[in-house]
Formats: sequence, structure tokens, C-alpha cells
Amino acid sequence: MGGKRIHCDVPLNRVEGDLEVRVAVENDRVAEAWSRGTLFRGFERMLVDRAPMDSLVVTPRICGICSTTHLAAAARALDQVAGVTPPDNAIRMRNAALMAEQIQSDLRQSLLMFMVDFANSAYADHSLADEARRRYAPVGGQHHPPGARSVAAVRETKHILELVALVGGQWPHTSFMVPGGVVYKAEPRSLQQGRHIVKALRRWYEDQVLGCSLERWAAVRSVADLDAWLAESAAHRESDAGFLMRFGREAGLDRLGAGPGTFLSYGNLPLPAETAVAGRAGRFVPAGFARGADTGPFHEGHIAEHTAFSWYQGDPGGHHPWSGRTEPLMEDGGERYSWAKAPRYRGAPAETGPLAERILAGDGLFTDWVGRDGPNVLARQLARLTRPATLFGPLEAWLEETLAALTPDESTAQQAQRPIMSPASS
Amino acid sequence: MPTLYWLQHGGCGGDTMSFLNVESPDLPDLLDDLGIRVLWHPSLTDTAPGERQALEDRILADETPLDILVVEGSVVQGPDGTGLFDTHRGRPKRDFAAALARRARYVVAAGTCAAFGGFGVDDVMDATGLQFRREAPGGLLGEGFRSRAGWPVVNLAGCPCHPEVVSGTLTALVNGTPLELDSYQRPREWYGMMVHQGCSRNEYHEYRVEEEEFGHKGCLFFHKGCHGPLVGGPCNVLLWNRRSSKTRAGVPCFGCTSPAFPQPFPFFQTRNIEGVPVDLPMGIDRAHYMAYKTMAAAAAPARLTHRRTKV
Repeated sequence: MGGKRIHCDVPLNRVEGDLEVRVAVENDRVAEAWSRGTLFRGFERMLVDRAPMDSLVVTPRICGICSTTHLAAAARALDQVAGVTPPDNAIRMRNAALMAEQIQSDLRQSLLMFMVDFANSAYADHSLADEARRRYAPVGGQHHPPGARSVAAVRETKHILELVALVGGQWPHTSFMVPGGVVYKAEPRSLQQGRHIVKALRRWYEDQVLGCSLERWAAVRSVADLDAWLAESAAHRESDAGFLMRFGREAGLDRLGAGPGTFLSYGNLPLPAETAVAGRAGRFVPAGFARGADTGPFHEGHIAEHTAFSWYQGDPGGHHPWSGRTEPLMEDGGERYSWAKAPRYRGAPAETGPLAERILAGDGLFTDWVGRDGPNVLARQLARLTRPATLFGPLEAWLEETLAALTPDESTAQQAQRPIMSPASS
Repeated sequence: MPTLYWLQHGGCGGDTMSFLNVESPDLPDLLDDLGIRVLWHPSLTDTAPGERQALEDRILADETPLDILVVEGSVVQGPDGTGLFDTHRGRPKRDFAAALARRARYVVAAGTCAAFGGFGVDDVMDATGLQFRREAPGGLLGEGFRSRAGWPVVNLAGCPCHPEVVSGTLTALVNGTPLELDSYQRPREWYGMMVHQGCSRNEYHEYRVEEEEFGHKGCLFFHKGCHGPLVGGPCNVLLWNRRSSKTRAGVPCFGCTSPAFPQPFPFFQTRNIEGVPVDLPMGIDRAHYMAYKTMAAAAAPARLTHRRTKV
């Protein structure tokens, strides 16, 4: 070929500046790429020799944008150890906090961390570049005044987190989920307030982010439906979802970022025993594994973390996290290039996140789209921006159900039946 | 126009995420009102990688003035003191932080990790805070460090730091309002009060009505390891997300504003000697406390002991 080879390091740092993609460019094409974690934090090691309940304090600190999710993982692990199932209202309270956090995260990621790039001068030739800058220029940017939608995202997204504070005291980094339930004794005044908070954000989301009601959006079940939705009204086209589609198609985002073509979801949001919310196999977000649109069951035993190219000691073959080790091994030269381990399912990578969840839930639009064009950046981002549309209904339902199920002296906390011993007391 | 550079180290980004929640003014208005020019913030600016490098070089060459450097996350020194666990432009990020700090008029540590090392202080990650490593003065910059305005590092402790503390500190620095710092360099304005003060469960503490099981309303200090009366912080005065606090909701305070956070002994348990906590409310005499609590428990009204109250 004889083409000139250029290396370029691209930091991905809008939240947590610790991922970098190094690309090798030849003849204006990316020839090779390396995804590099640039920070070792060693969280796997921090819990060793600590009391089991300490995981409720330590684990959330892995991530400041989704700390409640990490708390839920730790709490469920302790539920399993203790052999307890939380009472229905505690499941609802845990889910409510998780959903509030996820709505915040999806909206901040979409508007403040993804669509902000539409305002970048790299898109100066795009026919929507001026409008993109007026909408999504960053709040603290040097080049343009803050975009109206960026400012709105900052002003609106924080309010849904008040729900997490009402049930868990604060966001981020609460520890209100404990084995067997939650520490919180549900009070009607908090639940009622929470319901108002959810309704207010839902109103803004429907009005500005979707440009239509949740019901109208739920009727979009294919790519043809999506095109009809875009053509239907100016409100749809001017919404964030509509703008994402219009800008993204012209920019070719629907032809980029195929990924591995496999999808995985662990499943999330366990259903209470008594609930009007529908799900599959006990969860609102179903677990599964899919190759393209061909979906099947998920077995967590097939997860392994590989370290052949990561700076860790040990054999390069994968280990289930249960038996994995985290012994840093810094070396110059060699083939290792990242502090991130490589997670694999049956030995191969798989896509997780909102698009994977929608495919595995059998969603019409995304199954149709990915079946036709394969996975792509635009579908992935639209799946994230519209995930809250799937969450508002169950969130409101669970707050209602909790209120209806309250008895005067009910406690949503249930102590573990078997005590959890700490190293300090054993 | 004051300039600000926000550098993230070994952390979770939670201080930034929390800062996005700031109220009255909210973040866009705060930057506008104070006239702050954000040179770099990972979540708030649109500086391209090449531009960022040029900007950093200009700051280090004293061509672009840096008024406020905010550091979030612990300064990682491992492995074996090399700093290579956390790199920036292929070099240890801690060296870059130290160089920037020497050019800043003010240096602010946002969160306990940046102030005291937090979760990274162990023998592998070997993290430190900017001017303390846990309680010990020194840290990355050394005990004698003063920024160009003659200030030590301003430590905004908390995991995360309360967003109003960040906005209040920026406001004071930009407007030249004096800030009195405590012995750990935390502004007394927000850390000169106990987390306990303002807790809606104060009356339970007063009469020693204890929470032994979660959800069984009471004071969390005696059994659940609550640090509310032990550490300074504004959680129950400012409240979180406009609504509540961990202790109000029934989650013990874990003492995250303390340089000793995280403690080496278990959370959710109160270390005690014959039923009396080992760690007593700040500044209190043990014998007096025991006599007072015995009498207080005997005087506890039934509305508290029978949990008839709605807090």
C-alpha cells in the first residue's frame, strides 16, 4: 500500500476522563484502533477484608453518574447471601430510585455529552450546523454562547434526582438499599411529592425531548413509522429526538459504529410480586442475549474478563469475575495497552446498553432498524434518548402502588434472616 | 474575566455530577453571573484535544492566566511512586496537576478524594490529596504550598462535595470575600457545623431513642455507625437535591467530609464500650455524656419511644 500511517489519540472524557481511543489512520481510513483505559482505580481490591455491608458504601463510588445502579448491584448480592427477597414496597422504592437516576443519565448523556458534538466546528458544513450550535453548544464552551437545549438539560434533569433524595437521602452516593430492602420507611408525603416531580419531568420530556405524548411515541413500531412520525408535525421534527434523526442521518451516523452485532442484557428492575407493571421472567427489563435480532436466554456464567492486552498479572484466558484477579502489572513495551479488562460473553464481545435492551425486549422500531441496517450510532443514540419513554409509566405506577400499599405502621425494611458476619467480629 | 480549569484525577466524576445539580443560581447562571471563563472542564467545554494541548502549554508558559484550578479525584502515585496508574498525554497526571497548581491564583480541591486522598489511599493505588494525605499535611503539593494569591489549597470535602459549597466557594474567590479555613483547610462557612445539626432525627438523639433495626425510626448514632455528631458538614443545613439528607432518610452519615474517610473499620456499626459509643460527639466529656444520656433516656417522652412522630 505504501500509505502514510498516522497515530491519533482521541480522549473520551465528558464523564470521567479515563478512556482514550488510539487510532491508526492509513489513506484516510482507520486501519486499527485500540480502546485504552488510562486509569487504574482498583475497586475490585478495595472490598477485600472489609465487612460485607461496606459494599453499600464503597461500590457506589465507582461512578458518579450511576452510583445508585452500583448500589443496587451490591444490595442484591447481599440479598442473595442472606437468602432474602425484599418486600414489594422496598422493591418499588429501589426501582424508583434506579429509574430516576437512569432518566437523568440518559438525558444528560444524550443532550450534554453526545449532541453537544453537533455544535462542533467539525460539522460546520452540515446544513443544520447553525441550528445545532443554537441548541447544543456546551454550557461552558469557549466558542459559542450556551445552547438553549444544553441549558434546559442542566435546568431540568436535576429535578428527577430529588426523587432519589426523597427515598434515599441524596444523589449521588446514597446507601439506602440494604439487604432485605431499604432503610426508608415510606411516608405518603414523600411519595406524593415524588409523583409530582416525575410528572413535571415527564411533561418537559414529552413537550421538548419527544415533541409528542408517550402514547404517540409508543406507536412508532418500525422505521416506516419513524419516518411517518417525522413527517407528521413540526413539533416532532423540532424536538430533540426529531433533531437527532435529521442531523444524524445527514451526518451519516446511521452508517457508523456497527459494533460486534451481538446484544446482551443482564435484565433489570425486578418486578414486585403484586404489580400492574408487565415484564418478562420477573423483570421489567428482560435479560437475554441476541445475535442480530435472533434472541435467546442469557447465562451469567458465560461472562469472563480477559486480560491478554490489559496491564494485569495472570493468564491471558478469561475468568468469570467471581474468580478473577486484579493484580496490576505495569510494563513498558509488550502488547498490553489498557487498564480496562476486556469483558466477553462466550469468548466474544457483546453490546450492552439501551439499544441492546430494546432489541432484547422485542421493540418493533429498533428490531426493524437493526434488522435492516445493522447496529449503528444513530439507532444506539435514539434508543438512549427514548429509553425514558419506557420508564415514566412503570415509575408512576410503582409510586402509586406503594402509596396504595402503605399501612399506618408498615416498614419497608426487613432485616436479613441470617446475620452477615463482618471480619472484624469473626 | 476570571478563568477556571477543572482537572479530574482518580475519582468517579461525582463532584461534577453533583455540581450540575446546583440551585439558585443554577450552573449556567452561576458562570454567567460570576463572569467565569471555563478554559477546560471535561463535561462543560467543547475544547478539541489539540486545542486543549495548546491551552495547557499556554497556561504553563504563563501566557494564559489561570485564576482558579479545581481538582476532582485523588492524585494517583502508584505503581511504586511512578504515577503511571493515571496518565495524561502519556505522562503522570499528578505532575501536570502540580505544574498547573503553581500557576493558579487559587487551588480548590472538590471532594474528599482531591482533598485528602479518599478511596485511593492504599498501598497499591497509593493516592494522596493535594495538600493532605488523610490527616497528614503534605500531599502532592507539600505543606508549605501557597497558590499565587497566597492561599493554601481550599478543601471542599465530601463524597461528593455539596454543590452549593462549590458554588459558594467560587463566588467568594471571584468576589474577594474572605473565607476562614479550619485546620484541614475547609471553609468554616460550610464545615464549621456538625452534620448532626439540622438532622430531623435530633430529638431521638436527645432522648437516646435508638434505631436498632433499619426502618425502626430512631437515632442512628448508637448502633448504625452514624457520624453525624462526629464530623463537620452542611448536609442537614443545606439539604441534598433540595429535599433531604442521608440521616433524615435513615442512612447513617459515613463521615465523608473527614480526612479519615473511608474508615478502616466497618460502616453501619457503632464501635462501643458497654453500650456507649467509642467515638463521642465532638468536644464532649465521656463521664458527663454517660450521665446525661442515662437521664435523657429515662425522660424520653412516649411519642418518641413509641415512634408516634412522623420523622
